[in-house]
Amino acid sequence: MILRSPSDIGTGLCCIFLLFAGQGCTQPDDIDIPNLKFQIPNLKFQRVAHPDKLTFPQLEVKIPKPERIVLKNGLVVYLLEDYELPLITIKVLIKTGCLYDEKDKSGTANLVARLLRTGGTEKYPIELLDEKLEFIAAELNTSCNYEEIQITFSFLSRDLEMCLEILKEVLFAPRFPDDKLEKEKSRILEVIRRENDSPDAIAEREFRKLVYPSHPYGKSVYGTQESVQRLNVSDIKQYHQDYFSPSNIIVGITGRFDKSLPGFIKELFEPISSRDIKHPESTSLQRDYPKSINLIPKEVNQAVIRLGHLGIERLNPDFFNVIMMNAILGGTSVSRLYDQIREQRGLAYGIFSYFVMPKNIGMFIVDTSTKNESVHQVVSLILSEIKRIKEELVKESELANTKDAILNGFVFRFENPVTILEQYIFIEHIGLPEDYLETYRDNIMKVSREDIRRVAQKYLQEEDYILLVVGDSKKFDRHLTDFGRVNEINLNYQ
Amino acid sequence: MRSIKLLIISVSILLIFPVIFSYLPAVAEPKTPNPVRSVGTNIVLGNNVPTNTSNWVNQTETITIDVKEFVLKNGMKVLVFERYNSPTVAVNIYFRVGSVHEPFCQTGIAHLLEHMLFKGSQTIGTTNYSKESELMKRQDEIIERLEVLRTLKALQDKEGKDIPTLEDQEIKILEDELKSLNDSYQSYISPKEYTQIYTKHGSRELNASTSKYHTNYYCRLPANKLELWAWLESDHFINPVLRGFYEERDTVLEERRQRSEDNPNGVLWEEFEALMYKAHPYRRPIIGWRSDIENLKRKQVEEYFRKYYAPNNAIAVIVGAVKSEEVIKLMKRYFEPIPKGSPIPPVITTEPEQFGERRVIVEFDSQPKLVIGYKGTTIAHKDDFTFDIISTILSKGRLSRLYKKLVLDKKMCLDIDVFNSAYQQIGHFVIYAVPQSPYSPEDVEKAVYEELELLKKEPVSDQELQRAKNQLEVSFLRGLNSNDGMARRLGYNEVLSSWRYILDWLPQCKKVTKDDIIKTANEYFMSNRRTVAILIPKKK
Repeated sequence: MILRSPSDIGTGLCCIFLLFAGQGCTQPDDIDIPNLKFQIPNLKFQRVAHPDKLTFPQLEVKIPKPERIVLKNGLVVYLLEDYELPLITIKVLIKTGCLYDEKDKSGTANLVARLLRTGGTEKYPIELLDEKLEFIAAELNTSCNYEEIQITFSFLSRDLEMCLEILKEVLFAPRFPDDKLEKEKSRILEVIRRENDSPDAIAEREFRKLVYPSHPYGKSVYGTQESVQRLNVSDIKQYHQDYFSPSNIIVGITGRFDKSLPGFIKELFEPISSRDIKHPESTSLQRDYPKSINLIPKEVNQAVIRLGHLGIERLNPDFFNVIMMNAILGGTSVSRLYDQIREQRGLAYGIFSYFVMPKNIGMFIVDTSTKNESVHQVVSLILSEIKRIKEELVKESELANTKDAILNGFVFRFENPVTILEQYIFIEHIGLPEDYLETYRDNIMKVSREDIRRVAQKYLQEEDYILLVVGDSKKFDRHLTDFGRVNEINLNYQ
Repeated sequence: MRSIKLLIISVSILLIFPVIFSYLPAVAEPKTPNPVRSVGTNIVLGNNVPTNTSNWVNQTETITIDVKEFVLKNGMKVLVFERYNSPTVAVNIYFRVGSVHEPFCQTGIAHLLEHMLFKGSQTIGTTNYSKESELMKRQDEIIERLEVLRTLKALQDKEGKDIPTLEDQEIKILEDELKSLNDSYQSYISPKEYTQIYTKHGSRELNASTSKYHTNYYCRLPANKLELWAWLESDHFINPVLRGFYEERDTVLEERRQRSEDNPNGVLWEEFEALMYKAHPYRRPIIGWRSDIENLKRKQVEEYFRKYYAPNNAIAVIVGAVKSEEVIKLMKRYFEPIPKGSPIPPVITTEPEQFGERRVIVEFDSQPKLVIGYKGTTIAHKDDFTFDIISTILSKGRLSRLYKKLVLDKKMCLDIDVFNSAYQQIGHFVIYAVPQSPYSPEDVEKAVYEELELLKKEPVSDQELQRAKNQLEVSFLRGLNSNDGMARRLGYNEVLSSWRYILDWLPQCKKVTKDDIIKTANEYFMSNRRTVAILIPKKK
C-alpha cells in the first residue's frame, strides 16, 4: 500500500442531487500513439490528447441539513434520515475531555470514557449490558480527546428504542464499580508501558510536551503511570457529576427511523435535569516560540522527525488562509514538501504538515521519517520550504490547483450520513457560524497568493522552531548541533 | 476477431428481515443492451434474534445488491454496482497478480511496480518524452555500471585494500555524469502530474495496494469524473513510463524501514510467514526482501509489467452513482482497443507436508507479542466458513471466548485478535495476542490452547453460535454502507475465486453447525499445522 494524503474530508449522502448529463459528451480526437519502446503499437484510441481537454457534466452539490432539536434541558439532537439500510448510527459528543483533568489526576477523563462502556449502568450491570448488546450485534464505542468525549453506537433499526434507552443509562446513570476501574487502570498502565515500543508514539507524546510545557494540551490523554495509579472511584464519579449534564451534550442520530423518533427522544431524555457546568479556565497561552532542538536516542533504522511550534486556534479568522497555505506547503501528496522530499529524492515514505486546531492555540507540525543517514538533509529541506513559502508568493497554478481540489472534492463532505452528522456536531461544539458549510467554498475562493504569504509569515517559524528527532544519532549525516544546542531526552525504558 | 462477447449477469441478494421496515429502496433496474440473467439469493437475517418489537418497526424487507458483470472483447472484466446515495463513485482496477508471482530474487517487484504506475506515461508527467527517454536510457546504464563497481569496491574494502583504484576513478566519473544528467532529466519530467490531475478533480484516497494475489489501483471521485479515470487508467495500460525509478525505489526502502524493520508487528509477521511456509511463495514479504528491492532494475520492472498487466488479467470494479450502460460505453471506448496478453501462469510450488510445530523467538526492542498460526484451508471451502464462525466465537466482541477470558477476566492480554485468511492454495488461521504484564507470551499461549482444546471436545452453546451468526450478518450489512468498501469486497473476491463468494458467504456461514466446529477444530488445530512466533524484548 503506498501512502497518500489522509483524506481530510469525509464521505456523503442522499440529500444531494446529481445533474447527470451522461458520460462521453466530449468530442474525441483520433490519437495515434507513436510506436515507442514501451507500449503496444498502432493503437487507435477515441480520446482527447490530454485529460485537461476533457469536459464533464455539471455536478450540483446540495448541502444536507439535519433536523436540529433542542430539548428543554438543553440537550441538542441532530436527526438525519438515511433509508438505504436498516441500520442506525448514533454519535454523541460530551463537551469535556482530558483538558479538564485535575492537575495531579491526569487520565481521569479517559477512564470515565472507558468505563462508560465497561462499567455497566444502574439498570444494567455490565454482564447484562454485554449480553444484550452482543446478541443484537450492536457496537458501542467511547473515546476521549482533549476537549471532547465521544460515543459511537451502531445497531439495527429495529433495536432503536432499546438502544436509546441503553444510551440514556450509559450517559446519565453509569456505574463505576471498583473492580472495573481497577481493570481499566491496569489496562491503561500497560498501554503507557508499551508506548515506547513505537518511535512514532514516542515522538507524538514528547513533541506535545515540548510545545506545551505548562499547558494541559501538553499532557497525554492517558495520564502518567503515577497519576493513573492514584485515581479512585470518587475521582471518576466526581468528574462524571461535573460534566455529564444534558446541556453539555450533543447527540446525532442517522439511519432509518420514522417520524415518531423526535417524540420518543423528548419523552426519554427531557425528564433528566441539567446542572450548571463550569469548565475551569485553563492556563492562558501566548503565541511565543522558544527554540529547542531535541534528540531521543533509539536504535532504529529510520529516525522519526517532528518539527513545528504553536499554531492557531480553530476560530482564528485566518483559518481558510492557513489551510490553503498548509495544503500547498505539506498538506497533500502533491505538496511542496512531498515533492521535494519523497518524489524528487526518495527520502521518506510519507511527509505531511498539518495544523492541529483545538479551541485554544494549537500546533503546527511537520511529520516524517527518514533513514538515520538523511536526517540532517531532510530537516534542512523542511526549513528551506518553510522559508520559501514565507518569502515568495506561491505560483498562480499552485493556488488554482489547490482551490480546484478542495472545491471539486467538497462533495465528499456529504458522501456518508455519519460524516455529515459529525460535521454538524463539530460546528456546534466549536461554535462555528451556522452557515459554515454553505459559505465554505466562497471562503476558499477568496484566498489570495498574498494571503498565503501573509499567514505563512505570521504563523510559521523557520528560526524559532521545535525539532524532535527519535533516532540513532551516530548514523546521522550531520550533527543536529548545526541547528542549535541539542537537548538529549533519555526515556526511562522498563 | 469474433463478434463482441458481452456477458452481463445481474445478481440480487435479498435480505429479508422478519421485523423491519416496509420501505423498499428503489433500485432501478437499468436497461441493458443484452439479456440479463438474474440470480437471486435469499438471505434471512437475524432469524432467531429475540425481537424488541416497537411501534415503528414490524415489516419485512428486501435489499437488492445488483451487480452487473461484463467482459470486454480483450478479456477485461467489469463489475458495476449502482448506488445513488451520493453523487460519488469508487473506482478500482484489480490485476490478478501479486507477490506470489514474482520471479526468483525479485521479491518486491509487484509492489515497486505499483508505486511506479503513479509516475505517469508518455503523455502524462513529461515535457518532452523523446528527450526524457534518451536520458533515462543513459541513467540506467550508469546506475547499472555503478552498482557493479560498488560491489567490486565493497569486496576490495573487505580485503582491506583502501588505496584508490581504477574502480574509484570510474565511480567518480560516472557519479559526476549522473549528477549533471539528473539535473537536465528533472527539467523534462513532472512525476507528480498524474496524482495532481486526480487531486485537482477532487479525488479522495487515491492509492494502490499489493497483496499476495492482487494489485489494486483505486480512488473515489465525484461521479461526473468517471471519464477522467477511464482516460488515465487506460493510459496506464498503453504507455506507462517508470520515471524517477531510483528515487521511488529509495522511497520503498523507507517504507520497508517504517513498516517492516522498525515496527515490532512488521518484524514479527515477516518471521512468522517465512517460517510457516517453507516452499510456497506465501513466505515472501509482499514489500520484498531488502536486498532484492535494492537491486531491482527499471528494465526488470518493465518486463514484469509487460508480462502480467494485460487486460485479460484485469478487473475493473465501479461502485457508485453511475449508470452501468454509461460505464460499459466508456469501458468499451477506452479499454477495449488494448490487445489481449498471456494469462497469469499458476504458482507451481505446493507447500510440502509439515512434520511438527515450528517456532521462532524474535528478540526486538519492544514489549512481548505473540502469533500462533495453523495452516488453514482454501477460499470458499466448507471449512473456510466454519473458520469464520470460529474466529467470531473466539475474538469478536466482548463476550467472545478469548477476549472475555484473556482480556476482560484474567487481564492476561491487552488485546487479542483471531483471523481466518483463506487463499487459493492454502490459508492460515491466526491468533495474534498482546500480553499484559506480568503475564508472558507462554502464559497466553497456554491459555489459548486450552480454549482451542475446548472447541475440539465440547459443542458451543446455541446462544454463542447464534450470536456469532448475528454478528456476521450485521457486519455484512455494515459493509454495504460504503462504495469503496463494497468495491473492494467485489474485487478481492473476484481475484481469489469469484465475486459471487460474497453472496454465498452469509448463507454458508449460517449453515455451520456445532458439529462442523468440533470437526474442523479437530482436523486443523494440530501441532503439525502450527507455527508460533514470539517477540520478546531484546536484552540491552
